[in-house]
Amino acid sequence: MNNIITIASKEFLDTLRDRRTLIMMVVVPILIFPLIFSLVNRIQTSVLQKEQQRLLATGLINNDSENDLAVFLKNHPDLNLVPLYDVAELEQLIRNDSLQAGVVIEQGFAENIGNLKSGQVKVLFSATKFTVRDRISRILNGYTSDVLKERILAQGLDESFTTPVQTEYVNVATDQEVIGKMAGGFLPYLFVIFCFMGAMYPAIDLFTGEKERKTLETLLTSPVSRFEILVGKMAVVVSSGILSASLAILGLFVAVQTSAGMPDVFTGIITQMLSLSFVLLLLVMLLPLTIFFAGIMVPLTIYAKSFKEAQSILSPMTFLVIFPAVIGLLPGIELTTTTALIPIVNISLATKEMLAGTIQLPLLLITIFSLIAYATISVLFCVKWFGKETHVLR
Amino acid sequence: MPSNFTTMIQVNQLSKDFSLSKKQMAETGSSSASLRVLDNVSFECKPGRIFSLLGPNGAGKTTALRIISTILAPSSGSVKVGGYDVVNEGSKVRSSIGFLTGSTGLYERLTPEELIAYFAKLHGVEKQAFLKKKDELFTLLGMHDFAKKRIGKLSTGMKQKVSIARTMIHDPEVIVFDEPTAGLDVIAAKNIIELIRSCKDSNKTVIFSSHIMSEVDLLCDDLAIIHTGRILFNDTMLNFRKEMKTDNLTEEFIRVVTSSN
Repeated sequence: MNNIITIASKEFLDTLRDRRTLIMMVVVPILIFPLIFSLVNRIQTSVLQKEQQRLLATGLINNDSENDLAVFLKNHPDLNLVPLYDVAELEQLIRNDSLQAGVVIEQGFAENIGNLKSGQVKVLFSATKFTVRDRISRILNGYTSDVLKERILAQGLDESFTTPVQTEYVNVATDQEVIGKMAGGFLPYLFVIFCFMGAMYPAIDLFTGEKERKTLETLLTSPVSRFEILVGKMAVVVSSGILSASLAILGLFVAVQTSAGMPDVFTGIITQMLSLSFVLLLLVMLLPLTIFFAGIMVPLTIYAKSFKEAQSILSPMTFLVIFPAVIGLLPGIELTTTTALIPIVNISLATKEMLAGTIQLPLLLITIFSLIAYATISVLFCVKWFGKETHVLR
Repeated sequence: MPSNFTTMIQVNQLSKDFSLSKKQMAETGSSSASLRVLDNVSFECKPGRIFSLLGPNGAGKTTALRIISTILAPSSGSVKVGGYDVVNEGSKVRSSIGFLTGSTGLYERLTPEELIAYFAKLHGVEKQAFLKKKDELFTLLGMHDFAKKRIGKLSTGMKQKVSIARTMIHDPEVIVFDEPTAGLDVIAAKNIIELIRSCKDSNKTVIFSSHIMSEVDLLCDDLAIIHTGRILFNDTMLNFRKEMKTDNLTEEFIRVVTSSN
């Protein structure tokens, strides 16, 4: 045991002095959430402000006599109306961004409206401007609904004439369940990635790096057994992954607490989610998962001859980790006795259920014990692999 | 460990086969899936004497030394170090060995002090004994000035001294040098030569491999010439000189090797 501690302490010191590993293991996870939150917040605020401040510069061609729609548009507070007479000119002005949209009221509009028929209106816009069509449509719908109301009243009918079915949708899920199901898929996905990424660089550095720097032979001639060397090194690889994920959780907590402009419901629920018991339970699942990751990575890093080779083998593996984690994000996929046995998918789904407060204990236990089983198998494989001289001294 | 052995390293009919992949078989033109790199090798090394394993590149020197150091396992035959079997008592063998190669790397992000302390701990050296030995080695090698600098920032010569201190910190009975001067400049190589001599003076058992006859001539008491995994000559250096059939040592070495082909 002393030897394992000696090896782990040295490897930890060595790892913390490696700038590349430190960035991936500490800096990125701790800063990622505060940065994302502040960036999203900033973009959101600035887009909203711009939207609100901006009047829609709209050209109006009225081919009809004076009519209600033209008056409605002229008085609308969201429009900056420019009277025009030529459609080609209107088109050109929209193309060169002088105007954002154009409304053409066709001849006979007022007459058709008066005769309870449809008045013809053409709207010109550029589909490259995403919100324009919706904004014009909302304004014109306002006029349409005014006319409709007048027509219904003129017929002596009630306003409910146009809505034969009045539907009320009642949400019985709590806010925690809703946000839990949404964020629940997303959060473990990120923690799983951080566990993997945080463990990857130390794994390469501690095994392939030792080979590349030609220090492995020296270590192997010390009286320490290969098993102790392997366990000492793996302990650091696993701790790095867990540390990385823990720092990401801490970063998320800080981001939620300090981020302005976040809806109170969301902040409250995320804070509630990040309770001590939730974080501990998450770590209980992440620990065997990270050991499992280490069990897969270490044989590959032992086999690789150089840092570059190890990196080129392990980097594509990130996709193998992302893919099952993404399954947890898909709607309709729930934690069952089958999905609880699939590594990564199970942790993703279990966390989702935990956050929503709908986790069933037997499924949680299946998840935890299957992760422990995978971790054990991968470590046994590692021990066997590290014992083979052809792999170690390749 | 017992120090009253007359033979410290005993290599008896040692053979080693490496399995070849299909790619390696194609590259070497071999029809067999295994390659014999050591073939019935036997020799002995005694305390207070320097034993040299001399052979051209690819002769099997490194493989033999790696088996003695327990890094590789023998395919057949036996190797005992200080009476301990390398297969069944690997940990005890490693406790008594100091291992140094010319290309030994060091942990560049550690300081010499940290590195030496790490290996002392791995070898189970007691704290008081460690402090005494460390001070002795640092003074002898002139390492105090750079003891707290990161190894990555040291010169090649300084690194070589760190390697030497690392090899000697647990005061091993047996020192294994695998081509210790390969790739070193004359000053760094001189440090190694002095180390080998001082090991002999303190009655340690030294085995070193080389492909340079002049280096062997300078140091060794006992000599084994190895080629394609087989021992071609195994006697004292004195007898090698006596039995020479050519004008100088290098030519004699070449003659022995080529006549075996």
